Amino acid sequence: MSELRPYKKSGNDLLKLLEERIVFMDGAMGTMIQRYKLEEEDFRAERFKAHESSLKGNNDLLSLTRPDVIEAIHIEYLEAGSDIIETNTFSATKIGQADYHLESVAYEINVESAKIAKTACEKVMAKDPSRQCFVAGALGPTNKTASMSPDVNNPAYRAVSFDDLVDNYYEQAKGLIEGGVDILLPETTFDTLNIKAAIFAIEKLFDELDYRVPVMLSVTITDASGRTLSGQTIDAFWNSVRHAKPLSVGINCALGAEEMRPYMDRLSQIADCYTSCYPNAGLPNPLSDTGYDELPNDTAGFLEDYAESGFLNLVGGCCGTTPAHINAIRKFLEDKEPRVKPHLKEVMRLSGLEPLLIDREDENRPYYMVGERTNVTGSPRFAKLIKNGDFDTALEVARQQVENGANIIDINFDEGMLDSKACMIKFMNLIASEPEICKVPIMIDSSKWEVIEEGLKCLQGKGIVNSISLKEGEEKFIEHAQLIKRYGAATVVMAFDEKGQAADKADKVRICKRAYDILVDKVGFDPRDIIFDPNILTVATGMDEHNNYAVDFIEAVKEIKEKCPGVLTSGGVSNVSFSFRGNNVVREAIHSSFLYHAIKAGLDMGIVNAGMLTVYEDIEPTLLKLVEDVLLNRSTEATEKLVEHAEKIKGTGKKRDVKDDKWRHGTLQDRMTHALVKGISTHIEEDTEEARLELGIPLNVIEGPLMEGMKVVGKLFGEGKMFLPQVVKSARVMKQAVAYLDPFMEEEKKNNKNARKQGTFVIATVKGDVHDIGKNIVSVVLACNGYEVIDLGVMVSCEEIIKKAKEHDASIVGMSGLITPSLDEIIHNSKEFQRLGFTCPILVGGATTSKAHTAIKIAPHYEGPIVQVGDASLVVEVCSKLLNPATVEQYTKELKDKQLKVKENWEAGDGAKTKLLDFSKAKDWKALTDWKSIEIAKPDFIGTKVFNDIALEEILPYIDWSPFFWTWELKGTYPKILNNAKYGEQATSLFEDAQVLLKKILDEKRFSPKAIISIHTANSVGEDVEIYNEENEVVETFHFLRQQKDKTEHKPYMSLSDFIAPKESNRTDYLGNFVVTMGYEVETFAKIYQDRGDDYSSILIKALGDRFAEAFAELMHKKVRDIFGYGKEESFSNEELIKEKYRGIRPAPGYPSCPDHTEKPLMWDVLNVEEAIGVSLTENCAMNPPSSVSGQYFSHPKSKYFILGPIGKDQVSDYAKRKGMTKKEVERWLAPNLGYNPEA
Amino acid sequence: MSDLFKSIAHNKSDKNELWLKCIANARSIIHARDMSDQEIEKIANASSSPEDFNVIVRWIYTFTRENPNGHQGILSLFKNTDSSRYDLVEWIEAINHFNSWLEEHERKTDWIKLLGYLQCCGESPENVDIKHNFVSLLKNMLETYGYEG
Repeated sequence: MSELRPYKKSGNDLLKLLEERIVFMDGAMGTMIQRYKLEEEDFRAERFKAHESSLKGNNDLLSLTRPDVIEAIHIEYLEAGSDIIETNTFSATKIGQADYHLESVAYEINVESAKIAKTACEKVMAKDPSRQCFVAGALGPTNKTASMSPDVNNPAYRAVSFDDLVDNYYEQAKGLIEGGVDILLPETTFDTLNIKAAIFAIEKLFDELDYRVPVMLSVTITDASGRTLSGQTIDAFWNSVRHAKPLSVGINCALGAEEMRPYMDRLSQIADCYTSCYPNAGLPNPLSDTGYDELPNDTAGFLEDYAESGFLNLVGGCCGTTPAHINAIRKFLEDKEPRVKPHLKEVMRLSGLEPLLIDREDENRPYYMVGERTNVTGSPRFAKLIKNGDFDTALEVARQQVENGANIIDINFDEGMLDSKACMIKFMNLIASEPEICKVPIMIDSSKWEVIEEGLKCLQGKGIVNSISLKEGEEKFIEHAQLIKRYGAATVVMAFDEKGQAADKADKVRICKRAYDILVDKVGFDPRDIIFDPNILTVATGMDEHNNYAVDFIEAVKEIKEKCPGVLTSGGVSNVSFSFRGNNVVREAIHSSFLYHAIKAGLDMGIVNAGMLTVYEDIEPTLLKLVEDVLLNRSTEATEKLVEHAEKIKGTGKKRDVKDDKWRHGTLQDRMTHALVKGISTHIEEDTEEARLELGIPLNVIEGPLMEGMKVVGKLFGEGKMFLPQVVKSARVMKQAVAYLDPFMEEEKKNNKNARKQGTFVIATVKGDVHDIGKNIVSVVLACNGYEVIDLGVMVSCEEIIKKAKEHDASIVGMSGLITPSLDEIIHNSKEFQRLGFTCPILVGGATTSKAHTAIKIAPHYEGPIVQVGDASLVVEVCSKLLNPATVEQYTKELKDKQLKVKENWEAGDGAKTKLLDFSKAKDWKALTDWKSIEIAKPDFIGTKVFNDIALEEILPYIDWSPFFWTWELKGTYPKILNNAKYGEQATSLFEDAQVLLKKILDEKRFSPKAIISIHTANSVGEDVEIYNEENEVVETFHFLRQQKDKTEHKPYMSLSDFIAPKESNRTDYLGNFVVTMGYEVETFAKIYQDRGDDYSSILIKALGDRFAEAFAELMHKKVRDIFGYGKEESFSNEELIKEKYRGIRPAPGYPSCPDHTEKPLMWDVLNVEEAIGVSLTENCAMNPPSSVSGQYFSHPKSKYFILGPIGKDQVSDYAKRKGMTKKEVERWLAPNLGYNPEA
Repeated sequence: MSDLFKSIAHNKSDKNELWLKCIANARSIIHARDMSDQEIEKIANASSSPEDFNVIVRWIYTFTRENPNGHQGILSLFKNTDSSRYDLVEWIEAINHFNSWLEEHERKTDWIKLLGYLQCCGESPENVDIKHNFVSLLKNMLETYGYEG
């Protein structure tokens, strides 16, 4: 074993020094090299004069080309007080030198760098014989990560393998040793798997030598979370690398000393070796005198505190530090006592991203569960997923195990039909990018050693091998154990030997003891890293010789732990109950009872389905007795009796839900408040009647307990403790209560429907726009707060709004619009309100509105207050301020002042123009395609087609649920939002309610999906695209725009027309058009609930309608991709569809790449949409019914969505000409994209 | 010191010496493979002051220390700029404002998340119909929604 090899003299000298005092390292090499202001020729010298690529910046190469500089720097540090200097070899691996095409000199750089450092030490020691100077060979992390993918779209991919890193580090370490280093120092590690490869390589090298050198390890903590880049905590990192038995472990780089403190503090407590620290001098800062944030005395001051706090044995500096820093550090620290190594309890130390300690001596320790569901032999479901290549869902299985309490997860791919090695690598790599899974240690399970080894090469944490045994003899056993130790893992050892599996207690103990002695005495295995699995065998099989199996196991566990100090024990729990497969009630009882007894005997962990364990005390007493008779072999009829009982209770395991009705025992007020807050309508009428009888007057019920309850709703909503869906549900309950009181309030109903009337709010979606979900939510929120809301609906003309505002003597008017043209409508309406002498406040809302737009474009036209409200939760407060005589004047003045300032700033240049390229030049920079050779997919259908018969069930899988939650102002993406700390509960409740309605929609076929598509031959002509009929005549010309905003890089200035073959190419290309709709049935169905006073369900239905429409568009796009042929090769998951991983795009007029809505009527003409599927366009080109989507299909393989951005006058003129519109009209429709002021 | 950098510093209206120092620092602390001379030039030309330039350089430097593929740092900035309504000058102004906000609130974040937040600001629906000043938009977003990155 290489760890038994002795140190050379220098190693022993260093050990002695560390016992006496703190040892000082050097500072930055790179910072010092910069001071020499070396040029390209310095890096090349004569030797690399003709080298093909630039070498400036390859500091390691200077060891060959300017060794004088490197030696001088080493001497400066030694003279400043360093005891240890590091070689100039941070990037001296083949991987590191590949950037400069100098892989072939990597070895030589290491040898020469070590020699230079050694020479510097000798020179200094010759001058001062009392000095002891050491050389540490630096092994940098390389620029590749072994446990993370550089490609966000492919988390299983790795840019470098463990084996590659081992080869690189082996060569580097060999060169450094040849050059004479005293220490090896893998440092600045950001990925623990990289440093594990370095450790592996170093041990491999030591196998070939007759001595060792001390190994120092150093990690980099990159951010404020205190974790490595690869996600491990400092504890987890230490557990992963301590098998190297290093001289020291420490932290360097990335952070300054001040920020590093908590992590050094922690490391100094948990490391049972020496500790080191060499921080940066803050960040580079040319504005400071030293070029870095920290002066020498600053850094030294921080480190002095470390020394006084007992964190340090070795100290130095990293980036930004200089000999002056080292000198200061030496001065401040040389009299400080070195850290005393702590004596740590000997326990099993594992890690994923987080540590797991298992202390067998702790009587209060929990039972550790190893999740078994990610095992193809144990889980048919998991096996099926893997065989189908559905690794995403397979990851869910792993995640659920952890969520259900598994402390470790066991991963196994031993199945004849699988490539076990490939599956292991892929799954392990995928898990590494799932922090919720890989936070726990991994148990790599296989009967094939090569599969286990591949798993270990993917594991940055300290995991467990499952398993090895003496089955193949002692030699193989030792070989595997040595490798496991070198990979830094713990291991399960099965009770098998050359003769077979141990069945009885004596055999189990004998085999385990033999294995223990071999591992500890011959292999040098830490007993704490050994887990014996004495084989849990199945009982109650009907064969008498099996009856004592459980007892044998339990007793063997006890004896093994006595005879093998330090080890843990484990077992596959579900084995014991195999006889009762299919009867989960009995199996769970057997597992729980078995574990109860086995744990008392000392069982530490078990492989079990972490979601299927019953609490021992909860086992039904009769069943428990029968089970324990079997397990403990208490009677010869035990099996028979249990089998008989098992038949009776099969399938009775479901728990009864117990409803929590405690709130029904509260006071009347408490009950009504609870009902309103929770949205429970079950008892509201009964309670309302009780209130009416108690209070006498119906109005008092509304003004009393009901409004008190709604105040609580309002308060919780305002505090962010309740969310919109709940508020809308509360409104439903309120409405039901008020509706109950209606008959008793004949006289008051007209004027006082919402009691203490706050005011009258007239609200509408403006002309030409059909969107109303947001408007409806605002209406409900205001109604809840005592406002009388007059909702005029959608597509409401200015005249109608004015008429109703007068008729109802509106306190406030609200205008909503989603699409861009609606903003012009709002401006127009405001002008009319002003002209007609209105002074009431106007509220403006909708996704495209903003405070700035309101201030700049709308407010100047109306003297009364105009307020943009972007969030329904804010509307009550705004209305309250506007209607309260005590606050309205001040609020309005502040509002107007603010709006004026915004407008003035904008005019002065806030809305300044972006630099634009001339249109003619932008055209020269179009996106290029080799039209001669590119494959243009040919559709197997040309023409127009209507789809009337698509089932809702076919559309359902394509739904993207995230926007559904955004409608309700719940911020997050599905499905993560369901577990969100802030919104999770509400989102889950909302989602469940939606599922109920969804079922109704599907069962009763409430929506009517219809679609129409067309595919025509097409060519681009400049920025236009012509489509043709069979006679090659132009059917229609679509008009597109080109980017003009000046780009930072040489990238194309794009237009959608670039994705269609130009006419002059003589190639036939294709353009598709489509419209899909869920029909007016959405509105009809929603109205049913609205008429019942159930706004919540009404809004839900419309939101579902929108989701279905988008999903339908996705489905139709898939069908069109199939028509083009390339769709047939796809197999995307829904998540991948949402991320648009497929070929082709389907932009719609209004999208950022084609913002002009006036292209829609052209599509409508081509498709004859209104007649075919009943979707019309309003005067502002909004689609009616609202749950509709339209767009165009581009099949170019490189087609993508982009933002058009600002365009210039030159392009606007050109566009107007092509469209046959006036420039003014174009400027109106493209107002948001104008890169100039059209009124100037 | 390359002629390119000397000429950039020389063409600035004031603080020429400081410009030279900052540009030289940028070149020395960030490897050429992570940020080329031309990329330094673009940032320098789009920055209104050496202080603003230095803030960008520090962010890129930190990114290159923490990420093996350091070139992605500057490329991400350019990619976000080119796909937005704003030019590099506006992006650098906005990043500087964000940087000040983080320092004032004693918050830390990483470069990619910072760029992502700015990208989201730029793409917000309210920014469709009128082009807000990027810094004003960012201020508004930070006040209304805060930053959780």
